[in-house]
Amino acid sequence: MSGAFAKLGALVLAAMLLAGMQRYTPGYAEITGPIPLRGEFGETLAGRGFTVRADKVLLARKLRFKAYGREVERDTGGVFALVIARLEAQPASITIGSATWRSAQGARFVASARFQGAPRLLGADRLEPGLPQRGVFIFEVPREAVDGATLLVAASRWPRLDTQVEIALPVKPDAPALVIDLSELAYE
Amino acid sequence: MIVSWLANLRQAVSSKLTIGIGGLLALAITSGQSLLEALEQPVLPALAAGTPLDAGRWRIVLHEARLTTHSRPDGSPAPGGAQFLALDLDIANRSSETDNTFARIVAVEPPIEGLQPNPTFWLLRDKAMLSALQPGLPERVQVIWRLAPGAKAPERLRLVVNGETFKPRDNLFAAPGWFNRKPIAVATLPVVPAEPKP
Repeated sequence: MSGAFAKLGALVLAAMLLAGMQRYTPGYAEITGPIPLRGEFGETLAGRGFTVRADKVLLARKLRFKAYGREVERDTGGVFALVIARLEAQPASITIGSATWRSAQGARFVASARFQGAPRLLGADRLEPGLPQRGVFIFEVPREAVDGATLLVAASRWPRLDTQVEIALPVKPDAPALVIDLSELAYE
Repeated sequence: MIVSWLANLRQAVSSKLTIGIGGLLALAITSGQSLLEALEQPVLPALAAGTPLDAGRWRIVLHEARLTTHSRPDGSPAPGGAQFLALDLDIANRSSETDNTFARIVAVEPPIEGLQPNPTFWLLRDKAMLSALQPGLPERVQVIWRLAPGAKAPERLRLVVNGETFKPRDNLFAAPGWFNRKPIAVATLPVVPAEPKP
């Protein structure tokens, strides 16, 4: 009789152990996820394949630029967040396919695709080693997603076992500029 | 000899009975399920124009459907007198990530003859093609279908709105995502005829 109880107990224990492991061990997506590289604003961070330095954050209600010979003005229901940064390939040519604005609440805003043809847009061109690019990442976010945001830069939108640079941004949602002209931005 | 033969027989009969009963039970359950599915005519709730609908991943408000001669919201009329069907709607991205899967939200059901599939989505704010929707920023969008030349202009547009549900851990990679797309509402909009030529 006690043997039957021991068998049953072992079975229950094994089932509990398996359920616990299924629930509380990291999943495949987490194990093979991005490798975070956290750093300070204004600091040059060297990930696998590229270096990045975020220099300035600006907020604006409207952005103006010239694309393909046409004046374009873009407005938004939220606010435009601009991060002026310096990127360099290291050690070989690379395209930085992903810049993401992560809000304090965890929402992820991919760099806006509404600025095709704008000058000095980062992430569009391939980077070469020894030829750093200074330019701007443009995000479109609700105002409540500004405070406590983090900039994520990686070679692809969902990096797998690859660097994801994470830079906490010193930015407050108060007083965004009315209009910023992208061709008049001071990049240097 | 006889006793052991009887015991064997008993075992064989009982195991065959068990298998048989189990099999019949499984058959009964699956047939019952498929019968229920066949019987159940899904009655989708009707969605009126101007009413917001929570579709899991998106929140949408349908506005006006109309015939037009413009292939895009800013341009001059398309050459050759081509006709288009335009639908105005508001879409808000309720997920936590920038999203470009908005083409799945509405489907014309039943299909209209002469209406070409794969409409273009335009962001009215820019009068340019919609590329992505940012979370928490609703946008006014215009969907434009091309009508085949000579096709009869529809008077009504019946749309099925699709919803998706969030899973914090999917079955394959244990990654969060949106799954189980299925129709959750139906809207029938009158199609406003094209404005007369000046």
